[in-house]
Amino acid sequence: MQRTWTAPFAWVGRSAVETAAAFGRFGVFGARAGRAVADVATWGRMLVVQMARLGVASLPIALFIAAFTGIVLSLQASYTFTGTVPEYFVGTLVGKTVILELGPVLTGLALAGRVGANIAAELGTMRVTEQIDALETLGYDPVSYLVIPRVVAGVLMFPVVVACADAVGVAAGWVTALNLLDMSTPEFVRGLRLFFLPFDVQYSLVKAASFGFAVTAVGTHFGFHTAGGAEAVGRSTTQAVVVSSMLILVLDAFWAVALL
Amino acid sequence: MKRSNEVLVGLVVIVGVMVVVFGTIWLKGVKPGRERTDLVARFDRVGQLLEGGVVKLRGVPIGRVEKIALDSTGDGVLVTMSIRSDVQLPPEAVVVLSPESLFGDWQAEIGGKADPDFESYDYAQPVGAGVLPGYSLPELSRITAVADQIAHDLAILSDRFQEAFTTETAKNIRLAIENIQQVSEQLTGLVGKQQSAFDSVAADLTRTSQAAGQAAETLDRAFTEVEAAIGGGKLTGIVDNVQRSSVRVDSLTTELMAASRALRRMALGADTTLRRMGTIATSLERGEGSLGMLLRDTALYYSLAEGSVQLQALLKDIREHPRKYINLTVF
Amino acid sequence: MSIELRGIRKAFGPRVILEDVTLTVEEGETLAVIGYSGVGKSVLLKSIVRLLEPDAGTVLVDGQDVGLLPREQLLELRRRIGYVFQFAALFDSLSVFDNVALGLRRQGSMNEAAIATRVGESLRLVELEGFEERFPGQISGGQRKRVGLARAIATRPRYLLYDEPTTGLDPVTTAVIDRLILKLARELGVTSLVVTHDMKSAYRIATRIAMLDQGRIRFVGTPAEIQQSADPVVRGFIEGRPELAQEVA
Repeated sequence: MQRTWTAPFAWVGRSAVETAAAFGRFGVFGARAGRAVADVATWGRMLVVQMARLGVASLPIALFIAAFTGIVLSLQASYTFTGTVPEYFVGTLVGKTVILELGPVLTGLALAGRVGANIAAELGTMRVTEQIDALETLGYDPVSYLVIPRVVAGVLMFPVVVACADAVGVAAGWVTALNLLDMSTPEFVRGLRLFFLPFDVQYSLVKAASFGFAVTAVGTHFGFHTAGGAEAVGRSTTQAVVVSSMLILVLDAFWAVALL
Repeated sequence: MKRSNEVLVGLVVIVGVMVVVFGTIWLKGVKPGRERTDLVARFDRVGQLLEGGVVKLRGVPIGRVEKIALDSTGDGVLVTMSIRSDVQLPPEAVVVLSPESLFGDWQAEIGGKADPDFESYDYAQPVGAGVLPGYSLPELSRITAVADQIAHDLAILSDRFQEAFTTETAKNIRLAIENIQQVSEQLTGLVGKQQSAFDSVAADLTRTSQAAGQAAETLDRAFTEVEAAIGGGKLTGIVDNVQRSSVRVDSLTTELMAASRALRRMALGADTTLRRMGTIATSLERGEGSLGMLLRDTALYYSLAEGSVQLQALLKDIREHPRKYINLTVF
Repeated sequence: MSIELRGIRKAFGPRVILEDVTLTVEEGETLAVIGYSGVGKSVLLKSIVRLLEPDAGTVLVDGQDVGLLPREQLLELRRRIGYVFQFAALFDSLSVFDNVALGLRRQGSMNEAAIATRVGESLRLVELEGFEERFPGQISGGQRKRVGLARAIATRPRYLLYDEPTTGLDPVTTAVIDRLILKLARELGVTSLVVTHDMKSAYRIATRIAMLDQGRIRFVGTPAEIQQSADPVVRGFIEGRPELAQEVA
């Protein structure tokens, strides 16, 4: 009974400790992963499979999102510019927005759901069914075998997926401008090229790579540290999606501050 | 299964890399595989030109601005442009920087020094061999100032129009015409002939009036001779009448001369302004300046140019058929 | 050459699982560790290969202190120990062949042909020839356990650790697995440590039986000795009479 009034303080204290512990675990995990990177022989063999699963299989959803984003941007830009700004600025807006922001971020968020959840659920299940322990007993470092190939595949394939998404987004905006907005190709292309810098593409790809890292690192971390049964796998999956989505937005802001 | 994964990943990665490489090249507007050469020009300043800005020759894009750097002396800017090497530059090539659109993107335009479009600028002296002289057009604020001046001139012009058509002037002119009608009653053939001349040009009024004066004098002399010949009687009355008329014609002449002088001054003023507008319009048509770019894209330029043409026609018409307008106001 | 556990202690938070466990597995024997569910038998097993780090005490395998080994040597040591998991822990994405070959591929000392031969041998030992191309999802629970066994023995380890090898299996399949354990001990000459709560199995396969209770080893002896034990806790467990154990508590 005496403890009732201290309960909130205890809760705050416990939360603080847990948060610190979570970061600590992630740090230890990172350090372990850092060592495991050296074990190229192990993760190198797994890489192609993961690249196919994380990257190639994610293309349809990424391109689907990009196409509709391009269409909507094109229409909205035209609606906003009516009368005051020349029509060809639709091209500028579509190109800049898709390449700089929506291509990488929407793809990142979609893949946080698709790839992050997939990784967390898979590794979580492997953890609770002792498959990760089994790897250890077979002489494998499970971090090199399971974590590194996924993270490396994420860092390599996210930019590829985002590059395709950027292209499809711009193309969709273009087709929309031609068919629904009465614009001509030279007009749209002129707007597209108006303020274009090769740096925009680099920026997009750097963002994509960082999102790939965030999604796969968070997914593997939560999956790897699942403890319990099926319910724990579900919890890890949810956490992985939530945390990696937030991390994507934070990284997005970070790159905007750091690079622009 | 593993094999097909490899193929799939390989394909997607290749597509991704190609999208990045060719997309960037395409968006930059550079045609790959074409020979390119560097061209350097020196400027006093470069306005808002940025690296990556378009380089044009006779309006055709032929390259991009590669590098912008202060020159070693510090009082000039060296701009390096990468252009297609198959392009034949005009003799005595110069480079003019100007806004490409109203939105802050500038272009570098190459032209011959002898070209009327390029001759009037104050180019920076090139230092070193192979460096072209360059000039940067004033920025938007300066163009706005010029536009302001035009607006001011137009305001003065319209004031002068109002001054010219006061009721006083109208009354005078009506009076004058009444007088002329009176004269015409009495000197039908003569004045009738003069009136047709008067109809045509305001400036001719002076001559017409002078002619009318001379005619009156001649008439006077004729009448005096007739009087001397016949002497006294009704004739004196007629002569008096004619003399009075001739005085009135004189005063009419003076008034008309004053009126026509005002008209001419006004026309001259309008002419100057319009010529200035014409100059600006011509340079706008050439696409010089941010405003020029905007105008070329919209209908505004055309309406302005059309307006100035109409105004000019109007003034010409006023000069040639003043009565048409005076009538309108007076009657 | 043996596995030695000295004063092992392991707690999860405030819950102490192993208090003070000292046990030696002699070369060539099959030692069964029995005890109630949740008593820490699996924890003991995992401590041997350092899947779990004991809070105190030392584990010696072939005289090497497992807790002090650097990572590379630990991985090397693990390759000398086959571990059979309770639910087989097969990799769902890999075929039976690839599951069994995984440890061999890691060693890197065999070419693909030799690996294929060894995988075939191992599967023959667990009587699952012809299952190479199946996936874990396509075979029964008992077959999965046998694949797990084949995977554990593929590298020809000196030690085999079994975690509840017969739990959840029908009596016939249980007998098959028990026979396999004996066969492997005989044909491969491995030293085995079997964690189980199935007394019938323990009697069948073990040369010695140890009982783990309340974080300590309560009894060690041959099957014959344990059947004659006067300890009520031991008797209560082996005869399935909880009331005997409760009297002591």
